[in-house]
Amino acid sequence: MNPAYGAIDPLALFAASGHDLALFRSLSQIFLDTTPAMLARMQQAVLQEPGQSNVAFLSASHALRGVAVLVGARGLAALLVELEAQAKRGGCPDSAALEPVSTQLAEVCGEVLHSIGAFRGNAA
Amino acid sequence: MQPVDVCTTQRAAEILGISVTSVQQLVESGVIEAWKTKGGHRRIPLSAVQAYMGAASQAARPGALASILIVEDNPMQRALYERQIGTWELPAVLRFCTNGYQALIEIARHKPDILLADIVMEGIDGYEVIRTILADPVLSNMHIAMLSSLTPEQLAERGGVPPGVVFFSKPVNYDELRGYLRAGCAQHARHAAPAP
Repeated sequence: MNPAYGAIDPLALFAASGHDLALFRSLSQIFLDTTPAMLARMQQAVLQEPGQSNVAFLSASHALRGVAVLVGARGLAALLVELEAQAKRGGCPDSAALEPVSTQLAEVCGEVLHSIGAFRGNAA
Repeated sequence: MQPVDVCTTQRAAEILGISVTSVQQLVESGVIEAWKTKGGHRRIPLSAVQAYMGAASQAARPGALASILIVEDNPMQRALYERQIGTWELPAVLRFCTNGYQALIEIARHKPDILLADIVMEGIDGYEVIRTILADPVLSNMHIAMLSSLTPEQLAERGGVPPGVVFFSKPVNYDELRGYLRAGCAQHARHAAPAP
């Protein structure tokens, strides 16, 4: 983990980008553009009728987890894995269970935004 | 030549339904004619694009490029695939679909040699796409790989990996994926080559 970042590991996305800084920045911007809608889908899912909610929740959580892994947001990804497991065991989580996700995603997005301007491929 | 008779690499990719990287490879290998402006921007005659479309619609020719179809709903992941695979200089044309429905149409239309499919997608998911292919004897030669961040337990709950299908865990190990695609492209080239 890069010491300048606690919630993400910019080296993970940079390596996956083929060490292309322009692509790294472009993908980081896509992350910022797309993840709020993913969180919104999760929030909508927990408000749906029981029975419908789980499928929608798991799909939305999976999508967010996929991009979290790409930016090296291991904490957020682990939280989502736990929520998915909880959903499998006992039904869809409630709105309160999503608050830590919202908090962590905000932190991750803040660092991703920072990395767009500051990350140079090694130390920020 | 009037500007209306030429297009950008991006536009050519849209017309042909393939990735920008694939168009660049076709241009650099001389398959599609093009030139660069003083500013370094590539320009492609529409006639060259149309000529390639005509050739591509014919049956497979000896030495023809393999076709790889990637079904992935996430734009970040699609961009990473395009970047990584584009640098491997495979003898292949790369196409993308963003959902399972679009993929089924593309598969029926172009019968790709290699399919890389995400599993969890809205609507028709990767499993349904793969089940459709496996049930069709016409598509029995297609190389199929699933790529997903599903945990082993989640994968097992969905029925696991079908026989004859390769699974790649996300985040993808690109060295492994490159080896898989190289093998698939080599097999395609061997089958497409004329008998000695």
